[in-house]
Amino acid sequence: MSSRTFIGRLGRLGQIGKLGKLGKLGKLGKLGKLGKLGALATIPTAVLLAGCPDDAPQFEEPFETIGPVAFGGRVAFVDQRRAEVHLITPELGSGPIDHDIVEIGRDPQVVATDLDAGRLLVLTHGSAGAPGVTEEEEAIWAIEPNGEATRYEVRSPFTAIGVHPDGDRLFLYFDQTVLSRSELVYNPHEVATVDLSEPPSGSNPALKTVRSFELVPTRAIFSPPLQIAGETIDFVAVLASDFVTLVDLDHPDRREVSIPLTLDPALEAVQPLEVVFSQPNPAIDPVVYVSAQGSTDVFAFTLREIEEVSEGGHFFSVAPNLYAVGAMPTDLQPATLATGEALLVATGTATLWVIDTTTSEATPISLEAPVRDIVPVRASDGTISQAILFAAGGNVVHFVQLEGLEDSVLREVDAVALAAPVGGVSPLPDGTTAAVFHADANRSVSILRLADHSVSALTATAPLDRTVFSADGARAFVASSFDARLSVIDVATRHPEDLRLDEVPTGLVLVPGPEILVVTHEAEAGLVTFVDATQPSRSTARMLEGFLLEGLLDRNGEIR
Amino acid sequence: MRSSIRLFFVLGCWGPACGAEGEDTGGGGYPDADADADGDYGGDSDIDADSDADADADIPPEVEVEADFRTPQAGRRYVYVADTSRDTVAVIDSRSLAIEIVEVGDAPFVLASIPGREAALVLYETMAQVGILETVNGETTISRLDVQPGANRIEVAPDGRHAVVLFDPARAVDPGASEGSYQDVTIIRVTDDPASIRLTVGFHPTDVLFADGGEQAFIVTEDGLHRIVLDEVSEPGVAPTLDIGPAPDDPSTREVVVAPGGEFALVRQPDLAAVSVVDVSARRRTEVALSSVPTDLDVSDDGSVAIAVLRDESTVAILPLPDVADDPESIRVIPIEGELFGQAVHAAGSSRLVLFTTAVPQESLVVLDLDSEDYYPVRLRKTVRTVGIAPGGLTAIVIHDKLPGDPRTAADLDERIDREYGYSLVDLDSLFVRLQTTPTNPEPFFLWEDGSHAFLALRDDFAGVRAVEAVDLGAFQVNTVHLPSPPFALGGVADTNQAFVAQEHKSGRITFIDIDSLATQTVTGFELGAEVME
Repeated sequence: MSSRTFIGRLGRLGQIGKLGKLGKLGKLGKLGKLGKLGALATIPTAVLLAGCPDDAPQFEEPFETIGPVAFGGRVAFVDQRRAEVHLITPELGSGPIDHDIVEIGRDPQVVATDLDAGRLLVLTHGSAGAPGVTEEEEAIWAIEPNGEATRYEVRSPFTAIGVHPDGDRLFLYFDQTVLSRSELVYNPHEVATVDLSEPPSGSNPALKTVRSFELVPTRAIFSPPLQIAGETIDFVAVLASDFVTLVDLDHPDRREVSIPLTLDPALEAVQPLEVVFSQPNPAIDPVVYVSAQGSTDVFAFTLREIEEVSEGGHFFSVAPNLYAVGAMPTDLQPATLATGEALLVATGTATLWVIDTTTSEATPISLEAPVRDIVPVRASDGTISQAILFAAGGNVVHFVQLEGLEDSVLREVDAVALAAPVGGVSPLPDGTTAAVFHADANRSVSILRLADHSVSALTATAPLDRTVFSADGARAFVASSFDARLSVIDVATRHPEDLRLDEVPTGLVLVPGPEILVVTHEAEAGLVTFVDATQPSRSTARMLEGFLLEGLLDRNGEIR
Repeated sequence: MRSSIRLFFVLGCWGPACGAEGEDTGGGGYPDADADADGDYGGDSDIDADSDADADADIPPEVEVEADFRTPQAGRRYVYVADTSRDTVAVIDSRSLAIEIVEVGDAPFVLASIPGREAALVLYETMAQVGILETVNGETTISRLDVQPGANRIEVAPDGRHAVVLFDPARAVDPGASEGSYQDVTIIRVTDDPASIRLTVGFHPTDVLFADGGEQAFIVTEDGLHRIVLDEVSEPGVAPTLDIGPAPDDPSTREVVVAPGGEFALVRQPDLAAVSVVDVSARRRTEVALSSVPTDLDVSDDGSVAIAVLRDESTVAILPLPDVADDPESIRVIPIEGELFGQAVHAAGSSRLVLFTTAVPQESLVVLDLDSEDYYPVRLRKTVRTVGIAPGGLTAIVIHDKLPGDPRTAADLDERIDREYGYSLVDLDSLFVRLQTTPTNPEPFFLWEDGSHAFLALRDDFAGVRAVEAVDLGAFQVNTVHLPSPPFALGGVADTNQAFVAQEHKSGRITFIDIDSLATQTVTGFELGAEVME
């Protein structure tokens, strides 16, 4: 390690007071093992000796963070207790670390970034108020890489954030699986749309209650821009049991469209799982494909253009169709074949269904083993050239070439049996390889060559639970929470090299520009290692520790 | 006898009561006859028809399967499907597959299309009304007319200008419901100022026969025959009764046919060696004596002759119309030696008659040329349940019986075939026969209006059979189109050259099949469209 930096400058010692209870921070004593910190470790002790006031609980609370989250060339850690965000610019060498602390609202609950990771989003639930604590409404904070934060008051304790692909529009809702405890009563059918390109105002965020028939949403999925009746429309599909509701983000005055998935909700529960929007040609009506638990059909809702505006203010009507695939669909993938638009459907059986979306004809393709997931592999022009099919827990990976798929003679479907069960598959950015994460005891990794379907299985000596690929896919960084090492794998040659760490890693995140791998470790006040992702080496790596303590005393360590 | 296989088109049924009309009246069961089931081609029959009277007396009555080989009277472009539970009719555009869900009123359960128009009639379980749906430019409107309570059957005239609505006890699906009237029918004027006019007829109307292109309707009741000139019905009244002879103890054993022009009605009574010829205009009945009791009665499509089958004598009696009404002796008999037959089907547009029997397990039929009086026995591989003729008169379709037993355990090929379901195509020119076995009963059948194709639905929920067989009646080629759900109704839309198959699905499913390429398009879930909310 080239350097270790203790960033936890506590500030004016006179304010430490009850630092004695920083006995928890005494775990910083672990840092003492890192050498340089030994000097600092004595400072709290000296203060303790000076006596401690009894009214500084802020220093008693442990650090509870959400992160690391990479965005805008920085890495963020959200301190839930102190309602602040630590923004750190990863740096190698021994120079000063660019570290900003951004104050946000109380009780941060959800953290996200926009799709290109240029902005950090934090949803805070505020506070109902208490003696000495002012009331604070729920809000969503948009934080720029330079630490500039904008607060949008949402006034509802949402538990999920949907981020539009344009990065500027958000859709906040209540995730059915998470109980929001911030308010005495809340409306789980309420949603909010936020336009981050506009300043906060009375109408931004905009709250509304979505028609939901007493069913709480489970997910919200954004559509790409769709062309309907001469308009470009972005929808968010709100999924709830038995319904998919389309909300027009561009026209808030238009009523939402609730599409049933069953005619007998009292008798059957149909839970939508996946929604795929498809409009391969702006001249044809878009289609919303839905797979659902409780149904062996794929739902296809065509948003058919109509001449006269509907009751809800729309220029489309919903024309349903169902494609029978014999078992519950587990994955959907639109594809363009020589015969036209198609939908690939996996059902957890040894059959891949290819649905001609023009004729609704479903063609079953027999496979050698059950598949649940379809992973598209894109060519350099962005088109999908082939798909990798697998089922988690199975040993077989299928490769399906889309060219000729409609022809039973020309069709190319290949199956490769792996030595260990598959946990997941991820095509790499170079488009020539894919990584297979195994579900064996060590969660080992294999590299697949897509050209010849050859497999290089890499043996792990400890369970691998973290993997990050470099942006160009040339290198894979693999870590185990049981081993203080990082494995750097050259994807082309499949050659792994170890990089020893000082501590066992708990997380990996890649920060672009220049690419630096950020490795987190278990520590009370924050401990990370920066690794040069381009030329990884222990000699150039840098540790940063105690950063959560930065300025703690200056801010009075307030728990807000 | 009008022998045909019923078209199950858009009867608006979504429940178990639908889709099984008229079938299984003869499947599988045989009378005890010591017949050799293997017949020889070329004139020898399984049963010695020249046997003495005692042997003839042992032959049971013919089993007439009420099957209907009608061509569909569907809209040329739109298909109408009723959903009783949701009070809607789905109107499906066979061109674009766009679907319009129309709320039509409380519990629609019987639907009938109107030939020549994009329109349909619908009856309700709970309302004494008939709804008239009409689709223009993709939009469907509905108007309603009163009918008699309990009506459950619609018969639409071939010209589409009128319909007759009646109560048919055989179709009553709810034993707990109050029954309809046994002596009321309602005439629906569909075009030119739609109206409904109720008429009183004799007891228990059992059939509605149209003549004169649809300008006349004949209602067959136990009390007699009622002729209705549909354009002349303007106010309620009693439909005059034509005397067709005394009613037998079991009225269902009496057969009534009407000449296509409506000038004559002919009646066959059980146990009576005669045919009654009723001159409709003159209201005069003439008994034409025959040498034995006829087992079937038919009339040619041009109305020039009536045909009576005298099974006991293996003879066909030809009754020339109108001559026989004035001269009962003018009949002509054609004996067909060595053959046993009890039923006849006339091939429209030709002089051919197909003769067969269902009384005994006989694997043959006879093709008779009425003009030349030449006859040709045709060997089949299985016994006959019913026969129909495709439009154009070139092909006969024979639905076979199935012997009990599992074909897989048969002792030999013949027995295996006998234990299978199936049908045969018979080229009436060359007399070539193609047997097609099927995994389940091959009904309902649907014939394309030009006789070029036939479609039949195969369904066995237990065995998972769900398919349509598409038959090219020219090439005698059979292709199977597998369906995602069990079929319950078949029909065709001429405008787009497609057959359609309605299938069981909780949200509605229909498959369109191009009759030439057999390319399919399936629309499912159209009922969900009615539940979309804004």
